[in-house]
Amino acid sequence: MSTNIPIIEARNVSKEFAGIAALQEVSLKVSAGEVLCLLGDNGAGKSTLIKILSGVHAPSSGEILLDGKPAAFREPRDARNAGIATVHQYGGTVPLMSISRNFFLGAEIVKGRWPLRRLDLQTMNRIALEQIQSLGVRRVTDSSRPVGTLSGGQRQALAICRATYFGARLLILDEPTSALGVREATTVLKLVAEVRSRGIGVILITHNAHHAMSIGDHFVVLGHGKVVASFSRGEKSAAEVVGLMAGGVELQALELELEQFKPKAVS
Amino acid sequence: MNSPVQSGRTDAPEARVSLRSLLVRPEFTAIAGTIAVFAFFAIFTGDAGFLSMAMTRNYLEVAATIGIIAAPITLLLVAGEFDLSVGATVAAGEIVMSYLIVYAGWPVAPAFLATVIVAIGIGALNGYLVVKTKLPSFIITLATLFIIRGAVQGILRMLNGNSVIDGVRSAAGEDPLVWLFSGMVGPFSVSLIWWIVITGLAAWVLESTVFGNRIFATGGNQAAAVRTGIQVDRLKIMLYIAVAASAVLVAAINIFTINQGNANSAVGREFEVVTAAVIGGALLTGGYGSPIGTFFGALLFGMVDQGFFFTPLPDVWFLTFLGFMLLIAVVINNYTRNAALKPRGSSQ
Repeated sequence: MSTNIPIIEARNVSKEFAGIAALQEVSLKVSAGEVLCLLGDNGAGKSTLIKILSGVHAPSSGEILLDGKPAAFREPRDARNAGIATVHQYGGTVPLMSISRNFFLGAEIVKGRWPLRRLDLQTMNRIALEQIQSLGVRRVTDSSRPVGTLSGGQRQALAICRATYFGARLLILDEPTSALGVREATTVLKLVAEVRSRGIGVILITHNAHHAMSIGDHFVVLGHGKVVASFSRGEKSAAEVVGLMAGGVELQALELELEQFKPKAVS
Repeated sequence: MNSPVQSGRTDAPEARVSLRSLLVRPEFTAIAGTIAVFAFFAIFTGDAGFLSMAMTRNYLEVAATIGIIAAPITLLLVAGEFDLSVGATVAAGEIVMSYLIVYAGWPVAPAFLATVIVAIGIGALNGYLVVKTKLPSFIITLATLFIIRGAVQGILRMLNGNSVIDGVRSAAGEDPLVWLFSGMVGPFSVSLIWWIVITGLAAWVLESTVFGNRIFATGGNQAAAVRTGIQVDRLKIMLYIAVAASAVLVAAINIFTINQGNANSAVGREFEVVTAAVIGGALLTGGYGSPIGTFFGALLFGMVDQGFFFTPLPDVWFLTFLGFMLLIAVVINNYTRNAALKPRGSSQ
């Protein structure tokens, strides 16, 4: 893919909590239009790394480079302003609010002068619907309906769509497929492919080696806070990756899942 | 009604959307219930006097003193918090304002402003304690209920050995501002106007403003709200202040209507306003509610409270009747909301 300067790069990042090393000398980089899959078992350090990249924690040592320049995120807002958006599991949406109200939450469109300034719900509804449909979620035809009526995959789509609309250049997707059924997971993976084709960088955190293999350009496997393996698409098989992640413990269960999951339409 | 879509993305067809969207409106039950209760009393007790002007004025007055507080309480409930201290705050407002008018000889305007400042203090304290301790607001405001109610009674006992301050109207004399609190508009008390205006304001803020959008988000998913940069603590404190301010407005209405400030005023009002809000569709768990629904919840409360007098049952049965009304309303609200929010995806 692209060979230019990575959007974000971690160089030898370590993090200690009260003297206990959560991350040791971790390096990775993501360029525009690339999907980096971050794999690892529970407790491998994935969440800590993500929190460092999204400005929640500062690294104990090592550095974060943004567009090749050292970046110091003091708080999540700094990372957000730099175009790094984190989409949490279940999309971080408010189920009882409408799709468009969720879409524009924290950045609402208003009309009129104070004290009569009010939400421009018509414009919000229209833009939210255009955006979510442009990402291929055409089943959603009314953005004034509550997010609670959407499926898990559609909620992820909404959150991803929202992040890109508000200028994200790098999406950090935290286990976007883990709570989903197989078909729903396919929807989300397609969405990731669509986002990548628009030149957005993606860090996809997952437990599921097969999901990772179907979409990833590069792969970083974490284990006990260290990079266990770092490789590009086609260099390892799914079975090898699973072995790296969990020493083969989950292999059987996963193979079962691989049986039913055929990646048909992933670009 | 949808064009066919490719591959595995599936949903059930979006039929019945318009009916659903009507039923999912939070105020649906309260409006239907108000019509039913009005019809009930009109048919069975209309001849006995339920339809008379005096009766209408009475139940509107009862409903207004509940509804004026219940409107901001609805916003607070939507933001996911609770305030049990409103009844005690009404009493505090009555005593502070009566004291300033009767004993200190202040005109109405500065006395009212000073009382509003006391309310802002009470609201800010409630809000601050809730957001700082992160304890359930039910417990925090239960504590402030006791603290405020006890302090009002205790201070008044020390002051005049009594639990009331009499003669507020005569002390206020010909002050034209008295009309704002106990005047009449046509056949109705001016409190009706306050109730309608405050309900309209609360509904507009909640449904149509950025602040309202953030109230919904705070109660609907606080973690997500915080991540989008919404200052949920400040928002909650502001709502607690609005609630306390509405309580002193009711206090002002009471002292000029009854000519007395009472340290035992509005006992149990905290439950009446929550009853109105919940009949009106508000969820105690936050994220959902409607000031318009609450308006009808308060109206329904007022009608039952006053209309019960005309039924053959002794009035002690009022609470039982009210309890059943609340139960029915909550069950219907819960059912319609769940039906409307059922995900229509078929893939899970």
